[in-house]
Amino acid sequence: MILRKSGGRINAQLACSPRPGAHMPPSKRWAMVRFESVGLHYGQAGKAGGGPGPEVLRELSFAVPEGGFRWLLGPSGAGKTSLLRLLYLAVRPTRGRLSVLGADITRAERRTLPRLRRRIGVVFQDFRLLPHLSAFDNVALPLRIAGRPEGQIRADVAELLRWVGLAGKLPSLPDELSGGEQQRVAIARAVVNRPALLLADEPTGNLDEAQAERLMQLFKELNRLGTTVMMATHNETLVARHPGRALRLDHGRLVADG
Amino acid sequence: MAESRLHLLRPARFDDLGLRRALSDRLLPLLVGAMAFLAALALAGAVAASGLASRWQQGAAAAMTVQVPNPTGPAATGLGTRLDRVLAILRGQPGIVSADPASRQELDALLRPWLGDAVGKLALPLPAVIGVKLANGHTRTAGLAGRLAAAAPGTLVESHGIWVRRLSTLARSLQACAGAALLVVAAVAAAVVAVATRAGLTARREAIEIIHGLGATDSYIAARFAGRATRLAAIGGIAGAGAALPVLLWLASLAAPFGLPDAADQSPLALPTTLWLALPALPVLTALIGFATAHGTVRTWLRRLP
Repeated sequence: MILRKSGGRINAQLACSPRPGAHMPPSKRWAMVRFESVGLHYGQAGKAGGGPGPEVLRELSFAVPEGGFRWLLGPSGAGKTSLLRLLYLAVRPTRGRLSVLGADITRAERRTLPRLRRRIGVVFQDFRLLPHLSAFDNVALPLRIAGRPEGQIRADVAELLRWVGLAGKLPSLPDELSGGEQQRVAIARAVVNRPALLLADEPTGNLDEAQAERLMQLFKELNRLGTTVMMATHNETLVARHPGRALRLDHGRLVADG
Repeated sequence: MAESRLHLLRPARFDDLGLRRALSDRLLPLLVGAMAFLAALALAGAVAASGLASRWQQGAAAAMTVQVPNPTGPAATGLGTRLDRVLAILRGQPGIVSADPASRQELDALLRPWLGDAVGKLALPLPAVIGVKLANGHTRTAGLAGRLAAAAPGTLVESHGIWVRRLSTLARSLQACAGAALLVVAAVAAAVVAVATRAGLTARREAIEIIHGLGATDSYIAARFAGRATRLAAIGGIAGAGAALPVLLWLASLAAPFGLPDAADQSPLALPTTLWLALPALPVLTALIGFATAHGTVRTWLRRLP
């Protein structure tokens, strides 16, 4: 179990410092994420006329409080990934109003977004590790981008990778790691900055049952410590094992929130 | 093994975008080097043209030649020979520093290429030739030709000013052409860096999107590209300037007899001082072009990301 390795600095980093408001009831906490009639369509690059493509998300309205947990469910093409892209600020809504981490993303100036992105951790289904960087450097990236001191980076990253069971793999390139190991590197990168909002897009897609279960334990622990977690998945078995509030999408619309 | 590789995890030249492969360390320096080489030649052309123009203006423009036919004949006005009278007028003219008639030996030397060694025995009725030096800034001597002709009819005044002014105009035109060539070379160098940077952006699009998603600012990403482009452009500049140096020294040795400024001693390092200062500045210039172009190109490209 990943969390059984929770000793030393990681304990100090994560376990011993729950987020402010982590112990408050959800109704008392401010909304980490708020959608108000949000719509999204992508441009049709290369097509004659260059007009907007079909709307992939329509009239989405919901809120997730700070420290909340949400499954994001729905069939392929329902819009789960597009919704996550909105949340990690890869796209902006084309309609409605979106608030993430208290900032109005619809109107926010472009130069203010990087600071928000540093408070959002994302685990991708395909990991999205940089292939020319070692496991250590991949995990260190968010800290270096944030301008943390190198001494702190070395200590924190080494400890975090040890925590996820990759102590001997620090210099390994992603290609030299198994799928599960790459997944753990991706998770370490997503949480190394202690994000306020953790997003995961089919994070168990490349994992066996045991690895998926470990991942869930990690996410639940982070959520218990105050991190808001939203996880898109097709894995109904996993959802059944870890029941929680779910947002269900179908054809770009929110069909259930509860 | 693992520990030794871990030591490489230093941030000093941390290449998070993988630009060492994306921005080739061969093609870009080679192309920028070629531009720096051409820039050095254009620069040398500009310096040489400037030197010649200045030399002509200060030298030849300040000289005049006066021919007095039948120099020993009586002057039309005043006393003495025609030559004496012309010399007296010239030496009394404001703005004339000296007026010295050429000796018989000097005239023979001038005619020898055409008439051979027998020139001294031909007893030709040669005119007197007076070399006149004008003070600085006195290139025009209004009314002088008329007064000389009145004293000694048939006297010719040949002012160098007209053709010197034409040559100076030509030299300034050459200077302008060299300047334009420099600008074109700089623009091509910037275009080369821009194309290479765009190729790098395309090659590293995914990595850029990942880093952008992790919260990297435009400045952070642009600085990575600009750092790499600056280094490669500087290397190209050093190579280009270095390659141009022997060529320029060779050209300077060829030009020395024509009075290239500062090159009269014909020493092996006889380049104008301006060029000695400009050549080391070329890599700095190429580095600046690399930095500014890469920064601008990346920042423009990044605007497509939210």
